Amino acid sequence: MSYYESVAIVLAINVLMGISLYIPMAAGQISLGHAGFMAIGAYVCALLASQSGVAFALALLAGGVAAALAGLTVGFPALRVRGIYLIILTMGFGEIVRIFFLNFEPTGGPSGLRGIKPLTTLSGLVIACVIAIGVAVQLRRSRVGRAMIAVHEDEGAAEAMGIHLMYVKLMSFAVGAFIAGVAGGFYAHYAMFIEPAQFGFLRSAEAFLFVVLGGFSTVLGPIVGAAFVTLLPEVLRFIQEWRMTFFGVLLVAAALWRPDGLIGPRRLKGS
Amino acid sequence: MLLRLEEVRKRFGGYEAVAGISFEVAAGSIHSLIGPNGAGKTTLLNLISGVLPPTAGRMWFHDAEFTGRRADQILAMGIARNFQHVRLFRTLSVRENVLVGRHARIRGGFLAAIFALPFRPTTAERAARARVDELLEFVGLAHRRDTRVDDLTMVEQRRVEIARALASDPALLLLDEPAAGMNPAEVEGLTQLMRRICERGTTVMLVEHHMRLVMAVSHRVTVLTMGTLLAQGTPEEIRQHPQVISAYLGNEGWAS
Repeated sequence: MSYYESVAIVLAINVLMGISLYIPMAAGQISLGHAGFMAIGAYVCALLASQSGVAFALALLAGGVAAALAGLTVGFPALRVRGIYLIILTMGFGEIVRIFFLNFEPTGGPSGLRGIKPLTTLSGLVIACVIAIGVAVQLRRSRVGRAMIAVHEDEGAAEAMGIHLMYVKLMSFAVGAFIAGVAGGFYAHYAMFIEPAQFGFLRSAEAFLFVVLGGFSTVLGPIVGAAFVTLLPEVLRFIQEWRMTFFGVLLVAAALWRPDGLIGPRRLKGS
Repeated sequence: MLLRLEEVRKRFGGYEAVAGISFEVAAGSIHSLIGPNGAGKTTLLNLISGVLPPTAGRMWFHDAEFTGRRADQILAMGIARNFQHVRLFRTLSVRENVLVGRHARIRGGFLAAIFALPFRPTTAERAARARVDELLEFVGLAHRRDTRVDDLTMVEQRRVEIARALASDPALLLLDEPAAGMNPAEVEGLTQLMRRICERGTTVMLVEHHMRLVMAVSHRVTVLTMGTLLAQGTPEEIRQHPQVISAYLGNEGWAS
């Protein structure tokens, strides 16, 4: 696999992660535990496709469904909390998943899962990204998409307008978790080796960064955010060990000058 | 009776904002709720619309009890409201805000949205948009349809809130101080609007401090004070009610 191809694959996986977090965040549901959903998808997909010989596409879907079910389970307690407490709750979930796999011997525990087949292809990922973007756009244009924005902006007013808060919050969490699970499946079959340490807090924070840096007014935001965070360190290789420092400075600058994200709130025209 | 309350109470800690109120709202009327600040008018609206749960008491709508239902269930039954301090969804356009108000009357969840035909609104969505455009015409905001609500004047925002509430085709519309901050010409426009809403078959329950508006538009007036019912009657009866006059003595809002 060439350098450019592997960068493109990492980029596509990150785009999926960005979109997977953008969907619940569009409904005001912040998550800093998205690596947990990714881990569940990665392990389920790897077990099915590499160890049990299930077709890769089916295994990816199964990983997504497993992550979505986990999303519903986290979503329920998350209904009771907001803002900073929701962040802590989802962080806790991410850690629980990581530590679960650390102690779960059937998937190798701390030594990880080896011998995963290299089934991830760039074309497969491109198709997945197109579908994920399609899902985000379809949701945005629909009745539930408007409901998500309404819930994000003012829960009380949204409920008084007939929106069932629990349904909107749980489903946006589940749809996002599904996409994160699929991203995990692709990741496992690209890395060919997975271990719990790969799905730690840093990866959750990275997904959060894609969305916040890119902006979550439109689906283009997390895509640009993922591209920026993935590609810039590659472009900056020439300044060698200073590149992460430079990258950090850029992030601070973005937070100062583009607080709504690189792709700001959409300009209204028709709808 | 369209709406019936029986001994409804709301307690916040040691303070009883609504201390046992019973009254009825007749279908097809404009029924106003007046009273000095702190009388419990807004709290009562919050109880009826399900924004707050009552501490005690029972409520019926069309003879079906709805005490303890969630706000979204109460809206689906046919009770819609605006907010005293405008609570529009500020990043959405005027039309999208009113479409959110139509939420309960459109079908389709997440899966339906994801698997819908792309680039083409569903029949239900197109019907909803047509209805919303008609409502924007009705409240006189058709020309502002695609504007972000942030860019509207306060008076226009209040009209969007009314359109958003009407979008659910409610049988009962609760209006919390819709005239606040309006000049006399705007109040006159609002009076006409409320009469037209009533003529379309929607009962209006109005909480308002603007006495000229209340007296001009109401079929029936209920006066609250300190969380209890002080008086009830036609505007003419209320104007001459001795207890109401003494309760309001010195209150300039009563001077009309």
